Amino acid sequence: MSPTAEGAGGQKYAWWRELSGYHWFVLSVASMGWMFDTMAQQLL
Amino acid sequence: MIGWAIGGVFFGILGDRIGRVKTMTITILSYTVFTGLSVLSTSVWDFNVFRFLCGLGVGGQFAVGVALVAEVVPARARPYALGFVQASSAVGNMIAAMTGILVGQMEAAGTITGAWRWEFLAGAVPAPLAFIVFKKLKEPDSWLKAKGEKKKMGSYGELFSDPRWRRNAIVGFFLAFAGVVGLWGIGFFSYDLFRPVLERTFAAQGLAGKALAGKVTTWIGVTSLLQNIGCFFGIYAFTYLTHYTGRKKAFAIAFLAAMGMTSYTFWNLKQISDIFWMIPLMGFAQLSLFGGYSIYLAELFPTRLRSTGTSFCYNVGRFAAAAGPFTLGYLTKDVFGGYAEPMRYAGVTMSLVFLVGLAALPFAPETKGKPLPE
Repeated sequence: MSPTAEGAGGQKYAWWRELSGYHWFVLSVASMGWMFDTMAQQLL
Repeated sequence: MIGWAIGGVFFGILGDRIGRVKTMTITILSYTVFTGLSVLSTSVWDFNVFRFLCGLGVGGQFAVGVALVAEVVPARARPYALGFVQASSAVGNMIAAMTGILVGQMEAAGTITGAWRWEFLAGAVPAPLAFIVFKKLKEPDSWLKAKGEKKKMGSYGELFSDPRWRRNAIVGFFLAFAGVVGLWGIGFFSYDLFRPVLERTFAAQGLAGKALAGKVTTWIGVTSLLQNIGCFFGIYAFTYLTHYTGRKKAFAIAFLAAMGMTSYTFWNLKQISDIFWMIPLMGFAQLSLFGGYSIYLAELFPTRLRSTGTSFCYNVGRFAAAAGPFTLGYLTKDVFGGYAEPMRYAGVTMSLVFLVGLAALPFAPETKGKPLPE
């Protein structure tokens, strides 16, 4: 099952189809920033 | 944890004042560079200084990352994108666990010496990410607009003088407090619960001394991986759940699940086979809440206070959570010390902390389907 979003016309589609290339870039970089952050936490 | 909390509060304010991108650059540089510099420490004092400085950056990353993603991605994709960010924390935990196992085995094989130094050196590898953030990311339009309106950005005075934001900050704090104490004060101490189970099991198989210790260490690494696999799916499950139930009902279900699964695990984990399903399910339930924090906290505050408010809720709870291990220790030794396996009683008692989050929910605003406050 894919999480879906509802568009203005009522059509349903997967949330990731709303993301542009830049959105994906921001999402990837922010996720990596948080991933390496938690990695640093675990090295304590 | 104190360094995380201080860094979280400081960088939370900075994130609103100088921007998400610049602050994220500083936090990433901070936690990577100072992790790497820990390698050079020659005493416990300089090691602790490096770890404290690293902790400042560690504490600051969450709020600015969440604010950035919340403000950049389209509204309908926002909960899923924020769940994605939070789920990556479980991957970070797994990378750390695997790094530890790898350098430990290399040391055992005689390939390297001083395994901990190599482990910390690996923590510096992501430093170039800071330059990518600085060079390639742009500040969100909503933040630029708020900045242009000359309103006061990133201020605790502003956060607590407005009744709406003050209420959201207090409610968000109690929601986060319950989950943070539940994870850092109880969940991560489940190692103390299953270590004796592992030792009994392998001793019964005839292992002793270094062979027994090595086997137990390996299994603890495996258990950590199992726990984090559960965490990954738990975080992401919250984003699905909240899509159907809204934020408040999803939190209520997650708090009850976390309390139930934590107390069940602490009471019933007795055999090695239990580890394979109880630990992942406990991680699933406990970390589902953290999926909620990444989605919900950013929705509670306006752009000019988003990073400040989010970091207040998430990181000030860490101050209180620092007392969690002491409380667990007090319950284990002083309150239930007369019982056989007092850790079980202490863990079940501590899991009641999830009720704090449940009690805060009636005061929480429902934010599903609403735009971010401006």
